[in-house]
Formats: sequence, C-alpha cells, structure tokens
Amino acid sequence: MLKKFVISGLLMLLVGCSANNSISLDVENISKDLVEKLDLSEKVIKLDKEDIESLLYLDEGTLDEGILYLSNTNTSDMVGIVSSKDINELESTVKQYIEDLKVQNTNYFPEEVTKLEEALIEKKGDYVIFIVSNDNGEASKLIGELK
Amino acid sequence: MKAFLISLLLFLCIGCSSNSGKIEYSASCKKYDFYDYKNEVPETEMVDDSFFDDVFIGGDSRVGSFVLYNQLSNATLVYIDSLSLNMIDITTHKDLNDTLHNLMMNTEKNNLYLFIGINEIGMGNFDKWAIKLDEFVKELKTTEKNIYLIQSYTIHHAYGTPHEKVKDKVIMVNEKIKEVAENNFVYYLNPDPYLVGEDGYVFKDYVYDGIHFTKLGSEIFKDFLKSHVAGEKYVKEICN
Repeated sequence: MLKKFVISGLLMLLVGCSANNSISLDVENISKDLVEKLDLSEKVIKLDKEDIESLLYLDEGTLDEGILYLSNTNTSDMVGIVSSKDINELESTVKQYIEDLKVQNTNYFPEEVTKLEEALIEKKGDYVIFIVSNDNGEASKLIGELK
Repeated sequence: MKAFLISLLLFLCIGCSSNSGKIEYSASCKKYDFYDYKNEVPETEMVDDSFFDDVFIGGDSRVGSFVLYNQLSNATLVYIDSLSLNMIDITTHKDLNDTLHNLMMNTEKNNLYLFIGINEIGMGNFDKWAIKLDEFVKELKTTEKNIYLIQSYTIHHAYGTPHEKVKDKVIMVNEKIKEVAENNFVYYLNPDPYLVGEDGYVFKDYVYDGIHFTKLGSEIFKDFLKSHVAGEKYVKEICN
C-alpha cells in the first residue's frame, strides 16, 4: 500500500500536465524509479535511444527521447519510455516488438509468454510507456492514475 | 660460351641494383584472394576434425544440438536459446556471463561461424534485420578472422508463422544472409543439399521438433560443415 502511494506520488510530481494534453515526462527518473519499485534493478541493463532504435529496428533518429531498462537474461522484464513525433506508429512498433517476443519465448520460456500477454503499453502525450514485469497489474494501476 | 649465355640470361632476368658489385634478386609478392563471395562455399574434401580446434560457432538454440550430442566438442560452441539478432549484444550467456557479440569479437579462434535468424522468422520483412547483421559482420571483420554465415535449412514450423509461409520466410532471411556475406566478402553456407528433402523441408529424421537436430541430424550437419571449408586454399601468392 505504501509502495503504491509512493510510486503514485513520485509519478505525479515528475509528470507535468497541461490543459492541452501536452505532457513532459522526466523519462530518466521515472523509468529509473519504476525499475527500482518493481524490483528489477539487478536484472536489467539500460539502453539509450540509439540502442532502442537498433533493438526495435527503427530508423536512426526516429526517437526524440528514450530509455529502456531491459533484462539481459532470458526473462522478458522491461521498463521503457520512448517518444516520437509519430506516436501512433511508435506504439504500433512497441506492440509488434512485444508480439515478436511472445513468439520467440513460446518454445523455450513459456512462463514469459504469460507476462508478455499482460504487458502494459500506454500512450501519454507523445510518449509510449511499456512495462513487462511480474507486477504488471500494479504498474498498470499506477500509470492509469495519471490520466 | 655457355657461361656467357647463362650470365646474360641472369643479367636480363634479374636486373642490376645501383649498389652494384653484387647482383641481387628482388621481387615483390602479394597475396590474392580468388574466392567468389557471390557463391556459397562449395563442397570440398572433408577436413580433419582437428580443424575445429580453431573454430567458434555461435548462435541460437540450433547450435545447442552440437552440445547436446557432443558433436565437434573441440570447437567453441556458444548458443543462447531464443536468441534473436537484435539481442546479440544484450542477452548474456548464463554461464559465460557475456554477450555472444563480445564472445565472438574476443575469441582467440580464427574461424567464426554465426548461426542466427530462425527466431525472427515471423517478421514481415528482413530489411532492417539485414542492416543489423551487416553492422555485426563489419565488426567481426575487424578481427581479421575467417567468417562463415550459416543460412537456415527450411524448418517444418515456426511459432507465429503459418506453415505455408515458413518456406518463403526462410528464403527471405537466407537471401539477406547471402547479400550481407557478398557485400562484406565473408563466406556463407547453404546446408540445404545435405539437410532438405524433395518437399523443400528438412528431413524429419534430422529434427525432433521440426526445428532442432536429432543425433542423426547433428551428425549430418557436422559432415556438412567439415566438407564446406573455404579459407587459405583460395589465396594465392603472386610474385613479380
């Protein structure tokens, strides 16, 4: 309960809202804090926007901002916040990436498929936030409270 | 007379240096690579197993079959289950604690084989996959080792890809492997003549789940690798 309150408070402080739906996210700190609160710190490596473009097979320069914490073992845990001028296309790319991971994990790591099926993928202004963890339900509530 | 003619012949063939008194033979030799990188490595006489003392084979779980059936145990075999190319410098091998990218870049072995691409077979197109492969191969080339890219045999099924589309997808990814090999002057291997039947799919006896080798399949694939070695035989030294 306390954890949920702290995360909510942190997100509210770090996310600025304006009347015309344009928001500015402190991508660096939000992603870092989500990783810590979801207890993923020891399992992930941090990718910057160039790495993410390579990972998602995006053209160089597609992303305006991007941080992705990604598991460097065979789990599918991740916390990502990315932004682009074409947010709908970016959301579609992220969704396809998650779908591809489900396929790849089906044969070897079926337990990850369940996690991936519950992946959180949300648009916030020009940002796409995507999270795969053992606590996706909790993360979903926290992001949802920002609407 | 004979001595004069021999002397004259030597004089004409060798030339004289300015610091004379002494006639020196000077020649410049260069090594030329006559291999045709547009084509797959042709079948050759089988190499001895000891060739694989100096081989690193890296890739996805298909490489795991060699480990499972103790084939080519003198080679360095590194595989990561479900590995896709875009994770090659991210996912760490659970025992070796490093990425396949780093392990291949830093190995002391002089023959590098890369077997990857089957886990991405469900992709729509492979243009950007090929760009990533090209980048990695260019990096590998800086090691100045012999590099072999292994094309995929046609599997029976792939999760997320309808059976009737699997063959087309394998052809697409293999075409990209061929292009990258040709553009970077590295070798590529086509195992189909050894592994694939008239129906265009890998022989069912060679794979236990439609994808991964049985013991028999791993033996056949080992023979394929042993009989398709390029390298020094195509390099000739030519001297002026």
